[in-house]
Amino acid sequence: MALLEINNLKVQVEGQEIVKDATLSVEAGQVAALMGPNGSGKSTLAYSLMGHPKYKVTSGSIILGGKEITTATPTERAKAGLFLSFQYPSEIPGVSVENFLREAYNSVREKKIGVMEFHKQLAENMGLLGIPESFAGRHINEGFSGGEKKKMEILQMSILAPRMALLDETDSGLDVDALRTVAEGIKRTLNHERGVLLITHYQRILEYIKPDKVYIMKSGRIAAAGNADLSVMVEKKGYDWVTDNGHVQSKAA
Amino acid sequence: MAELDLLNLDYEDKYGFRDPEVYVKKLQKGLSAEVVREISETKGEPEWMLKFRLKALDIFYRKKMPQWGADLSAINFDDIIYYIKPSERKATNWEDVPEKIKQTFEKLGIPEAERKFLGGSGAQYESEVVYHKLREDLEKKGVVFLDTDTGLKEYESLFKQHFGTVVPPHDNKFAALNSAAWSGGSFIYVPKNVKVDMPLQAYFRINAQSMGQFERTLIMADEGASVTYVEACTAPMYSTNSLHAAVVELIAMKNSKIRYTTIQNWSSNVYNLVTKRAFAYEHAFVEWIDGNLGCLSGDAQVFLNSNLKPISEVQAGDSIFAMDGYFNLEKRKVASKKFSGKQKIFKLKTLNHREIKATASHPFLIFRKLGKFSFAEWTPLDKIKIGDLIAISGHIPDSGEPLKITFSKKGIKELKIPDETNDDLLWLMGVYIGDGYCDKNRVYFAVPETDKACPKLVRLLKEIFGVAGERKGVVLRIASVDLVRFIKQTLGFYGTAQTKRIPGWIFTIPKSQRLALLDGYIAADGYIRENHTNISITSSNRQLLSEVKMLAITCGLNPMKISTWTRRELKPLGKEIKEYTHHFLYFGEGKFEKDVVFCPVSDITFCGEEDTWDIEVEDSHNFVANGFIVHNSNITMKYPSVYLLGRNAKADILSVAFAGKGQHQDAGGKALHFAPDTTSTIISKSISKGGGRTSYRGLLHVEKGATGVKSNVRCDALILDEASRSDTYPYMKIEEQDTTITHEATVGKIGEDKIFYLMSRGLTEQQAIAMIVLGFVEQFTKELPMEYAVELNRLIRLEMAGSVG
Repeated sequence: MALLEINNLKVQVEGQEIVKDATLSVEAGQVAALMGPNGSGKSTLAYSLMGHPKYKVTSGSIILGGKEITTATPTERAKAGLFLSFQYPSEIPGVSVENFLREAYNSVREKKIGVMEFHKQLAENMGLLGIPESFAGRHINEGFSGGEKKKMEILQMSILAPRMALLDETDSGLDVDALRTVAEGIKRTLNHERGVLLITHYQRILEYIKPDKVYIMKSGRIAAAGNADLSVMVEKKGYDWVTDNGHVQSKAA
Repeated sequence: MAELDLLNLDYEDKYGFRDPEVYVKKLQKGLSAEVVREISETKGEPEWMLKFRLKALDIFYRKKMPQWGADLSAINFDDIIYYIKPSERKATNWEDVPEKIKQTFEKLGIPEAERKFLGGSGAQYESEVVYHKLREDLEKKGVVFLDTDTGLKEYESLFKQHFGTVVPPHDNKFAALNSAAWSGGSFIYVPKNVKVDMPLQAYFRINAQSMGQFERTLIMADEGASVTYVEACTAPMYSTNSLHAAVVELIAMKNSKIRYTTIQNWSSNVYNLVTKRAFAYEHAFVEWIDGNLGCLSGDAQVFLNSNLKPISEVQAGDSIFAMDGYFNLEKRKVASKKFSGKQKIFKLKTLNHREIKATASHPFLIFRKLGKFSFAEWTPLDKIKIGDLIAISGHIPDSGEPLKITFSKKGIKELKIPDETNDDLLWLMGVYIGDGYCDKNRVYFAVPETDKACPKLVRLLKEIFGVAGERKGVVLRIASVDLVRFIKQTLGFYGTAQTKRIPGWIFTIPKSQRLALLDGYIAADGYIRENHTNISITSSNRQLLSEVKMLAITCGLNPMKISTWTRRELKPLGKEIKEYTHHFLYFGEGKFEKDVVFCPVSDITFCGEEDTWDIEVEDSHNFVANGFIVHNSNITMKYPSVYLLGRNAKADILSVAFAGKGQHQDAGGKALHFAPDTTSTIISKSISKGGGRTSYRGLLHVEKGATGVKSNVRCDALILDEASRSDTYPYMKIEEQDTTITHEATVGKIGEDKIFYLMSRGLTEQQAIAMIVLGFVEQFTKELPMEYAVELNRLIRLEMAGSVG
């Protein structure tokens, strides 16, 4: 049984159907990549998987670890082990990273961790991601650079230790060094029980994290699926060689 | 609200629950030259102060009420007590403070705070300061921290030189009022270059009802001195209005620094009209940090729901039922109510499932037999045994009146609205409670065509409102924004199936209308079980059922127990179990014919410590806990100001206002630049919810010749629901071109995306909202002394706990 299973999902945003038919799965211990041109519906899919109220699933199902979560609240999904690294994380003025993450940690784990114990854990993880310890006291994403925001998302992921992480364009806006640090951070969280869905426009991050599966989304549909070679093909040829209705024009890769 | 459904018989005399208002001196209501003379004479003041007061009184009479800002028309100056002297002398040792007052302040944590965090503290109760203490080393350095009356006695020349110079009596009507009737407050002088390292604090408490508190504070920081002053204010809840009209004058000499922090949590019905002003001379720095947390009181039933005892909502002047000498119930007025602190509480149950929580010493009426004689005796709870016969209310006399409906019909053609409540309207609302709901534009009744109640529903909709519903499957819907407004706002039927409540006014209407409501509700949610003849009602909303039970009691019906039934279901494809909980209210057969009946006690159990209240009833020592309306009104108008009079002087004004149901917080700040190179920062944060209203009102004035002025004004408003509002009124009077001004104003709702972001990390919606609100006021809380910051955060979390749903 796959860790994450998405079956024939349709998603509407403000009455408009953005995701028209998405079926994909991620096994435990695997990294899957979801690629596609701008506007193909990748981020919409990510938001709807996490349960954003504006993104309405009109048909199909989302199953996490054997449990259907199609109608669950974002809180319930998070507690069930789902995590979304946001492409554009929200700023929460006045709330420190540390206080927020401790409350989130307590909430997801459903037990309380000591303040000092948590700080130790946070500082360690920040060190690994090359985030200065002073960021613990800064307000969530307020005044952070694009790269710092992305590192913060990965920091949250390593603290909350989700079973299934959806990483929405985590690589975009990162310079080479930051990309490597982030990729290593993602790799560190991987083990045989956990899965990752990397949503990306480019092949770049896939050079650091080799995907076990690659899906290509076009015009709201999963148009192609394959192994890591598929992403290499995209890098060479772009997305045009995959037609909207899912037929690969040329198999001569 | 399990305690709601009880009868609560009190008998204060016999068991020593005495009236708490014991004062050395309490003047009659109203203000006159006589009253002013008496205040001055009681204080033994010098002649010049009496003259000052009388002149101010004259100004007060002549000045008009402010015509802008909040509505102050309800203030009745003749209905206010202008002076109460609670004790004979001031204490400098906490042990010497009168017991009653000490208890109040200890509940509020004053002595502990002093030990831990403060350089000195004072406490004012009604009109006079009852306690004052300054750390010895500060005293040795020449720091003066006295109550203002003593300041006048001991430092008369310093006093006379500065008193009334920053805020003269003719400044505004309330400054004149304060100047005429002032009493208490703090008098602080910090000598040259002395830095007071720990805050000085004063605590102001209004206890009596209809009380006016007019404290007067004068703080002077001499050259190079610095001081932080914290004031905190609270009052209990009364139905009549209390008035708090303070005047605060700060004088910051060259290179000095004054920080003045206010936390006020007036519980309700306090008009808070305060004039606060500072003079800042060369290089001086004045900071006002001002928190107005009107609605965060334990009285706020609408926020704290089941945590509250209904008695906490009863107010003086309300009508409740009391028993006369012949075991008949009659209407009586509540004379006063007081908070009796946290006490050990027991729950007493009767065989017919009435329940009440009370303290061990609380007296109940118990039926006794002694040989041939039988009689009823007031018995404290700890002397009551299981099986004793206890008096409960049976049939309660009908003394309700229809509710007059005020509903603006402007621009409405399609909809008829009745002028007052009637049986049919109430029946309809009964059905609404059971099967109805609203969205923004429509009212829905989930009543299928086959339902027995359907024809009557359709007929009444037509007769009362002149509307015909449109049927969509099992749902009858009426598209009318105005009907939605009428039901939700005018009649107060808010909420979803989970959160619906019986509005308070239902308990004040005639019995036939109350019965009609129950009848309609039963038509929607009630049924008769197989093999039974009595009715049960089912709902997933236990709170609602306990209110229905209470309502049934007032109608002389015999509701029994509320039982709960939980069904567990496996969610598809998983092990997770979903729970469905239903509550049932059973009705016993028959009705009560007598007002007071006796029923065996079935259980008494200890249930922890809770806040308790005492009620005093006119001409009676007992009462039946009954329905009530929460009347909540609270107005604050407060604009701390700084006059920047010397080069390089600096002012920071940081204020937070939090307005809940029925409250209007009109606050802001003023900076008046009279000298070059002066800077000011005004930051205002406001939060409104539950129909509350906040206004920012600020003034920025730059005098001609005051070059190089920098000013930054920022107002952020957070509105938590559609019923609430926020406005900004920034006034600017800039007469000098060489000025740098930035002004920013934001009005925000809590963004869906922010909530989603936090929820995606495992926080619940409530946690997410509370976190965003805490973040919103963080700039303010971080400036507070630790214990206030902790308390404030706790209150906001509590507050937000009720904001979803």
